[in-house]
Amino acid sequence: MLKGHDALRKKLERVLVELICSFFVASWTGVVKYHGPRPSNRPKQVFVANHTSMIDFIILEQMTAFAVIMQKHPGWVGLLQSTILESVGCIWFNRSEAKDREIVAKKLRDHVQGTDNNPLLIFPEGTCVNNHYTVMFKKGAFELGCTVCPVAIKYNKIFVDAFWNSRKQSFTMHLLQLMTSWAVVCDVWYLEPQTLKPGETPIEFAERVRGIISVRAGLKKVPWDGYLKYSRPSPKHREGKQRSFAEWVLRRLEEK
Amino acid sequence: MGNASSMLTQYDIEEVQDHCNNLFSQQEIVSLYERFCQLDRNAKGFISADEFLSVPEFAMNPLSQRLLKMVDGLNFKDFVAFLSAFSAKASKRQKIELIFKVYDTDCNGKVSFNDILEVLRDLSGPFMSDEQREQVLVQVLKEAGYTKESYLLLDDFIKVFGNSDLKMEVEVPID
Repeated sequence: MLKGHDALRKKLERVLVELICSFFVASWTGVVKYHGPRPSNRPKQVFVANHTSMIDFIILEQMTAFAVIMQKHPGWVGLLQSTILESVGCIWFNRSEAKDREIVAKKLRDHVQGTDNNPLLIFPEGTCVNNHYTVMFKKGAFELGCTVCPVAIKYNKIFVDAFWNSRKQSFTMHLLQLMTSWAVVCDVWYLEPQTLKPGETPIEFAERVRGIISVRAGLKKVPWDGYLKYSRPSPKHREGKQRSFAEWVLRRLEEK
Repeated sequence: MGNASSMLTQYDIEEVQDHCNNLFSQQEIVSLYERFCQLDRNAKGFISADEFLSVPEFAMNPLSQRLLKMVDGLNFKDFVAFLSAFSAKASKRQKIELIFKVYDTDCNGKVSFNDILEVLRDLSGPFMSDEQREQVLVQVLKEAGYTKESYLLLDDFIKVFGNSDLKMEVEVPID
């Protein structure tokens, strides 16, 4: 449909996706308050947000048609992902594949360089967190050489606990729980775009943005790796601690 | 979620609270019980070593094997009693007692030069040589007024830690 008019088609797709998401949000009586300037589509910028549930994406998507990077899910969710989300330009990754990181990093870079793509939304925590804390941000989004626009999301727990614990319940159950609860109330803040400061490493940049988001949404920063939800820590985590201890001891010894 | 607390009666909570000398509040004990049940996968009544190791921060701790020996197979009541040293209400002495137990590998009530060396080995891993570790230890003992042949008792530990600030507290979240 409308094959010859690519730009118009893209615009239509964006509006349609935003509309579908609004219906979705309304289905679980979502009361969302947006603060801050609406994201504008400029080249060389990415959006990062803290992650609590897959619905984060829908809440943000109803305002602006973002392209997003997501884990491919099985079942009907996967179907939805393949059909509707393909139109906005989504990047898939697979947590369990080791080589996946490099492939995804390349896809991210390509997307950001492209002029006609939708703004990219990334959840740097890499997993759903309980909306009380933020876990360590993965640095991938922060080494693309772009401006990073932080977005903070905070759900009001009095109405419903929006945290999707994927280890405990499937997304279907989670959605049902949301729909049968009173309302999903949340605040979204679009915060000031940040760029890499001179002399700052991507990891420091990621931590700085995590701080900005955590302060705005009233979340506690914890130094945990979100991926540990899925796999046991490798020996190098323990070795890291041993190394810093040994270095500290030896330094004190030298001072004597 | 939520069916865990229905298995704890008021009587149970009071018994556990008594056993840990009231160092945890009743609400904290309920939260701890939820966590205990989460870790104890097949409701055996105790948490196995492997289940403890599924907690990432625990697995990354260089002293995890030593701590495991102290908590492996404990039932809930004893588990809470063990954790009570980490309560904000616990005395400094209680915290030092726990540290002493970690160092006293053979549980004979005294900590020798070799005991401390073993702990130092766990803490520093491959990043210090045995000579460096011995050197550090001799120096540390000398500064505290002990020698390589000294056997440290709990009272010695209390004296050594006397004035330093021991930040050994856990915050139990209450819903």
